[in-house]
Formats: sequence, C-alpha cells, structure tokens
Amino acid sequence: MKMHIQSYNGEQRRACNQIWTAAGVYDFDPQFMAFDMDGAPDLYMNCIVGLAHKWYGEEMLKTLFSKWTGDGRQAMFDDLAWLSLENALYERELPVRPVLEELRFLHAKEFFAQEYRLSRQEWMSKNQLVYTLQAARWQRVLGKPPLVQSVRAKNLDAALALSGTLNGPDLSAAILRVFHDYFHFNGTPWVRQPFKLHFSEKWVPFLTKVMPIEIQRTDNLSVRTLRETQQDGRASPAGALHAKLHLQEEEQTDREYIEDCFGRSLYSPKELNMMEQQLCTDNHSGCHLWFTDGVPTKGGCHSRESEHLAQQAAMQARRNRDIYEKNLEINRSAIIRLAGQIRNCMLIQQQPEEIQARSGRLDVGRVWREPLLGDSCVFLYRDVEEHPGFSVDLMLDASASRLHCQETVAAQGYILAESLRLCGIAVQVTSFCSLRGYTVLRVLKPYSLKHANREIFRYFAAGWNRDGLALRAAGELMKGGPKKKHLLLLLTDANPNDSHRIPPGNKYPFGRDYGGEQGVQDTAAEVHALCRRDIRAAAVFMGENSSVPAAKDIFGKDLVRIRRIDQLAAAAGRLICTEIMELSDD
Amino acid sequence: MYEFLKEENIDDGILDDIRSFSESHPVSPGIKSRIPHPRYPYYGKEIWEEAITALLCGENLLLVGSKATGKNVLAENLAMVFSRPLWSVSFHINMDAASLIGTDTFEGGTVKFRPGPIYQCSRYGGFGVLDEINMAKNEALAVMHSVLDFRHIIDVPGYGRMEADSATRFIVTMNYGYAGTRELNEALASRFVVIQMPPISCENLQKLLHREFPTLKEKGVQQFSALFLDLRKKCENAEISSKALDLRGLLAAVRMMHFGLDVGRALDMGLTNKVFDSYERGLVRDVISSRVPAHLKRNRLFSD
Repeated sequence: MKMHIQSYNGEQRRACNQIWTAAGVYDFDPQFMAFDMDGAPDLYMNCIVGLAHKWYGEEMLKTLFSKWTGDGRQAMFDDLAWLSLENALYERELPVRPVLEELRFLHAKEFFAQEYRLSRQEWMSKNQLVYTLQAARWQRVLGKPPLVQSVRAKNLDAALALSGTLNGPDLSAAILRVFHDYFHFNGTPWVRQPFKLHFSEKWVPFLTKVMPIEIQRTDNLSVRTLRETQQDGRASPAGALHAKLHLQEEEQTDREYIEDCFGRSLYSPKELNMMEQQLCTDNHSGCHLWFTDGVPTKGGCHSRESEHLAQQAAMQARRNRDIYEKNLEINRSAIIRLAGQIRNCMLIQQQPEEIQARSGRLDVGRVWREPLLGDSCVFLYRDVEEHPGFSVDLMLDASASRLHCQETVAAQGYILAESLRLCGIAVQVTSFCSLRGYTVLRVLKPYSLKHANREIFRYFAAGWNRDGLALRAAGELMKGGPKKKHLLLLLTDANPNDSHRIPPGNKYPFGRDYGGEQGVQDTAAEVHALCRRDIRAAAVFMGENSSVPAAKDIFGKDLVRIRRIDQLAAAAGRLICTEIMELSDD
Repeated sequence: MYEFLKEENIDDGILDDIRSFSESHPVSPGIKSRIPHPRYPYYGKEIWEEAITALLCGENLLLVGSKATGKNVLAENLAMVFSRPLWSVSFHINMDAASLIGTDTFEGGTVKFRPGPIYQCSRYGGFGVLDEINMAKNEALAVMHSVLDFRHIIDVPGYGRMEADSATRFIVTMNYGYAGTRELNEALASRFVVIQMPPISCENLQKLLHREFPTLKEKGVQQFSALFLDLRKKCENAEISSKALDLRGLLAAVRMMHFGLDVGRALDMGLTNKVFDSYERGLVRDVISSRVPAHLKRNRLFSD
C-alpha cells in the first residue's frame, strides 16, 4: 500500500479510478493506493480503499492513520490497520457487491503466487509479523488449513478480523485498542530522533570534498548589468566611459554564455541587432533578445559553467523523454482525446464549398447544359473539406519557477503539439526565459518541421521570465507562420519577474524592478499590442491564488486556470476550441 | 401502450385526451407503417406527463439531456402513444434547409420538387423527431421557424406555400455541451417547450432490465444497473468518454449472456470494445470487474 501521491502516472491514475469507482465519489485524492509486485494496480485492495471512503469517510481514515504517522512502526501499523479494515469492509459491502467474494479469492491466490517471485532482498524487507497475519488471512479465504502460528499471532489475527457491523468511530477505537494491547501503542507516535552532527564553517571545505553532497538548484542564474546613470537617464561622461568599457566586455561574455547555454542564434548579428533596436525599447530598453533553435554553436562551449548547463540540459531532455515513455499509454490516450475534441470543433466551424452535382440546389446558370448537352450536373452540392485557417504558437514559460515540473511541461507540450498535428493545424512550440538581461526564445518545434514534435522534449527551465518582451518577440517569430491568423497560447504563472530592471524614465528616475504590478502592466500592454496585430493571445494559468487578478488583468477572458500541470493539454484544448469558434466568426 | 402508461400511474384524464386526439386525427392508410413500435418503453412518470401535456396543448418539444437519458426512446414512445406517423431526421453539421424541406431534381426533363422529411411530416400530420438539432447550423434551421410557430406553414420558394396539418408536432433532441455541438439560438429555442431529461434512475433501470429479461435473477438486475451507474459516474467525472456509457450496449450484452455467452465476453462486446483507446478500455474493464465476475455462467444469472 502506497501513501498519497501528488501527480499521477498511468498506473496510479488507474488505481485512483478503481478507488473512486468503489467509493462512488471522485472529489478526493486517495491517501493510499495498492499495487501488486509488478506495479500494476491491485483491484481488490483498491476497492477496499474506496469502500473505506464510502462507508467511513475520508476524515475518519485521515484521523486514524495520522495517529501513528512518524512512528517508527508506521509501515507495520498501516498494513495491520488495512488488514482489519479489509475484513470489516468485506463483510459490510458483500451483500450489495457480491463480486467481492471472487475478487477476494483471486487476491488471496495472487498473494501466495507472488511468494515465488520475491527476491531475497524483498523477503528481508518484509515485516515477518505482518506477513504471517496476511498469510493467515488469505489462507482462510482460500479455504486451506490454517498455518502454524504462535499463540500471540493467533490472538492478534482474531483481534484484527473486525466485524462489518462496526461504525467508523467504533472501528477506529477497536484498531487502536488492538495496537495498544499488542504493541503498547498509546496513541502518540514514538519518533526516533535522527543522529545529527553540526560542524562549524571551517570544516565545510574539507567535508564537502570527502562527504556526499546535495546541490540545490536556485533560480539565481541571472547577473545584473551595472549601469551608472544620472537622474535624467543619461550616463555621466566619466561614468559612461567606464560603463562602456565594462559593458562591452561583459556583454561579449554574456552573449557567449547565452549562445553556449541555449544554442546558436536563428538570426545573423546584424538582423538580431536590428530586431533589438526595434523591440528592446521602452520598458525593455537595454535588454537583449536571443532567438534560437537550440542547435549548439560550432567550436563547443566557452566556459565550464555553460558546459555544465549544456550537460544538464541534455540530461533533462533524456529525463523528459523517459518520463513520457513511462506513461506512454495515458499520454497516447490524452492525444487521442484532445485531437478528437479539436477536430470536432473544427468540423462544426468549417465553411462548406459548393460543388457541381446531379441533385441539390439548382444552378440556374448551368441549366441549359441538360437539354443541350445531356449534362445532368446542373445542381450545386455543399461539400466540406478540412482547411484549418490558422496556426498555433505554444509558448512555454521556461523560467526557474517550472523547475519542479519540467518533465510534465515537456510531456504536455508534446501532447498538445501532437494533437494539433493530427488535426492538420500548424504549430510552433517555443520556450522562453530570461538570463543575464537576454530574453531567450528557444524554438523547440518550428512550423516547418511537421513531424518534429519529439524535439519538444528538449525543454528545460532556468532563469527568469520577462513575459512582456517574450510576447513582443513572439510576435516577430510568428511572422514566418504559414497562416494569416495566429493563436498564441502561453503557459504562465502571471508573475513576470526579471533581474534586469526597467530603465530610468521621467517618472522613475532610478528605474524600477521588472516584476509585481509593473511586470503585469507591461505584459498586459504587450498582449493588447498582439491583439491589434490580429494575433489572439490566450493563457493557461498555473500559479498562486494571489496571481489570479494579475492573470485576469493580462489576458481577460482568454484564460484557463489549471491546478496541476498534467491538465495543461486539456485546458489548452478548451482554449483552442473557443478560439477556433471566434476565429471562424471573424 | 395505454396499459404501460397506466402501470406508470399516468392520470386517466390524460390518457382519455390522448385517445380523443388520435381519433380526431386519423392517419392515412398509406403511411400507417410509419407509426413506430419502439423496442423499449420510456420509464419516468413526470416526464411522460410533461411531454404528453405539452403535445396535447399543440407545443413542440425540445428534449435536452446527456447520452443515455432516453430522449429518442421517449420521442418514439410518444409517437406510438399518439398513433402518429414518424419522420426522423438525424442532424449533422452540413445539414441545410434543402435537406429538411426538399430539393430540386430532374424528372422527365423538367425540374421537380422532391419533398424533404419536414415537408412530408407537416403534410401528413406526423411527429417529426429531429435528433441532435444543435449539430446543425442555426442558419439551416431558420427555414423551420414558420412551421414551428403559430403560422404552421412551409413556404417553398417557387412551389408555393403549404399549411401544416394541425396534428403535426416536432420533437427535437439535443445533448448540450456535447463535442461538436453549438448553441441553439433564442429564436429557435422560443418555439419549443423544454424538458430537461434526467438520467435514468437506478429504479427505472431495474424496471427496464426486469421487463426485458424476466428470467434475470434479482442479484443480476442489481449488479448490472449498479454497473451502468458506476460507468455514468466515471463519465460525468471525465475519467472516461461517453463511448462505454451505452444502455443499448448493456442490454445487448445481457441478451447475449442469456444466449449463453460468458459475462466477460458479452460485456466486452456490448460496452468495453466500444472504446478504442486501450487505456480507457482498461478503466472500463476495471469498473466491470468490480461489479460482475468475468466468468459467471448463464445458470447463475438466469432462472430459466
């Protein structure tokens, strides 16, 4: 029996479904799930978990199992509690669900069948008492003679076979009484204090060399560019010279760093410079842009730091692919569903074409052909063909706030792109983040490569997110799109934040941080600017409750909120359907 | 059918009104074969009373409900109770006015009007069942406005106007929010009285199973009805699509079990295999396994 899991893979989702089916409700995340030795969901025990919710409620279970949470014998108590719950729930549910008899029998058979598949280590990891009690229970279910047991085990076995007539509180009390009588458990967990040693700072360099260490990634990858400025925003002559020297040197380093980390630029230095002049203005003055497809530059990495990051990116890509493959079945299912949903929506919005036919609406201009030429095709028939009249740009926030869910973002991006491909809709997937004053747009999958969706697995997260500039730059990327109409979908936490400050202006002589209200206002302005260019921007929002007003300010009604990242593709699908309807009405 | 309605506790006064309606609107012998004989009865006293009253008052009916709520079953039952010929049209996205009212065609060197189902239904005073009306574009349906409201006429450009028979009624069905459907515009919706079709209750489902399979043992009736409700709940919670939520499929499976097929295989054919996605099929199979043993034999289910 496994404890609560936050996001589910295919097998876990199936186990949840077994629990929800038995419980008859779907509004809770199961605290426990049961799997067999091969990792497949255990239908009978999952039914029992669901029935526990049905008969005793979630609160009773939480309260009961929390009594020994943290206790050194927690795993044993969990198993024994489920053993007693199993008996009570079986007796209680059997009259309304006769299939339980067969399921219980099969579960008992499987219990003994698994014995032969256990490795020595697995045997050793088992609690002997729990195993004895489980074996006794399932032996009885199979109708076989009881195994030889000690008197204590026999008594405990009998005590754990609680009756189905007990209600929730009585059952809880009975289980606690058994634990008290047999294990002296008094209702308070006995926590073994971990052995800890504290070393002063002078030991740190030595110990980090000889002991295993854990490195925690932070989002502090961005380096601020120093600028000495006067109050009117112009640099002082002396300071300007120093700043220029410093800046040129630093800019060259930063550029190389960005190129090493993210790959070569899609544009020549001259083109990029022109684009920066055009786009890096107002709030983004002094910022830089980097458009890349992730292909590394010739000549390799310039620094150890960037080399390390490139290695990490490659590792992350492997992880993204592995996790996707692990949940292949559920992911394929999501693609089929989403493609069906989008295709259906396109179908009802498409415009019919009129073709010549032998029946239908009379085409008066051709009616002469029948008597003179014997051509009976003098009617018009309405035929419909699929011609999606728009392309989709999916922009994935790749700032450090996504570090914890990179694999899921990549998988969801792939699911969405693949569904759109199946519907014949051109899609481009880009990730964006900001680092050292550069807003990097990494084209993971361009429009032109229809079958390159697996490239989306190259997604990784790092740095900050300057949403306003990213949106402005996305508008440029979309210029190469195959269709006139564009739909831009943004995965966002509606919390734009960049280390590179908004430069000084008349109102703010010292500049401002790019974040908070300023960041939101700037992003909202860029969304409006895109709308003026006939690009529809919509967002899948996944962030804190406190960011909800900001998300609404930026995207208005074109917003869907998701609580878990694995809902991304479905939410994006809903947005696409809405946008398809609105685009066809335009 | 009157006997069935009496069993459903429908008021005798209503039944008398239906009788007098049928007697005052005789059906031409040539189209009597169009009076349906539905395979299944519709269970639900309140819905029956609402629908019959609306039709007696001359209203058209809009039945709104999700899959497996019995919209079409009720429509056919109503046509049978009122002894009306039935014209049934399944709507699709490319439905246009011509396919409803009629099209031009060539016959003997001249262009002739070939009447469509709505035209025919209005002419002979039948019941028109328009299935999944919100699949069609509202523009295509505008042509029906005049026959649906107090004017009761159909005007075919170039062929004149036809007054609909006073017994003509239209019963339309729609599944709101179903994939590929659109909003019904107000002009069209105002020409109907609306019945929100409730999902079939456990009790009515058991009645249906008892009626269809009189020898099915009580335990079987309970478990099959519970299985269907489990599937419905899973579907409502978007864990599976509505493909496996198929009442006809369940009844077909039980019929095959009666013929001797294993429970597991019969339910696979009737329900599970309608889902083509393997992951979803696994979920459906789990629901079935948690209700009915796969290898249950016929003699444990049926008493004959």
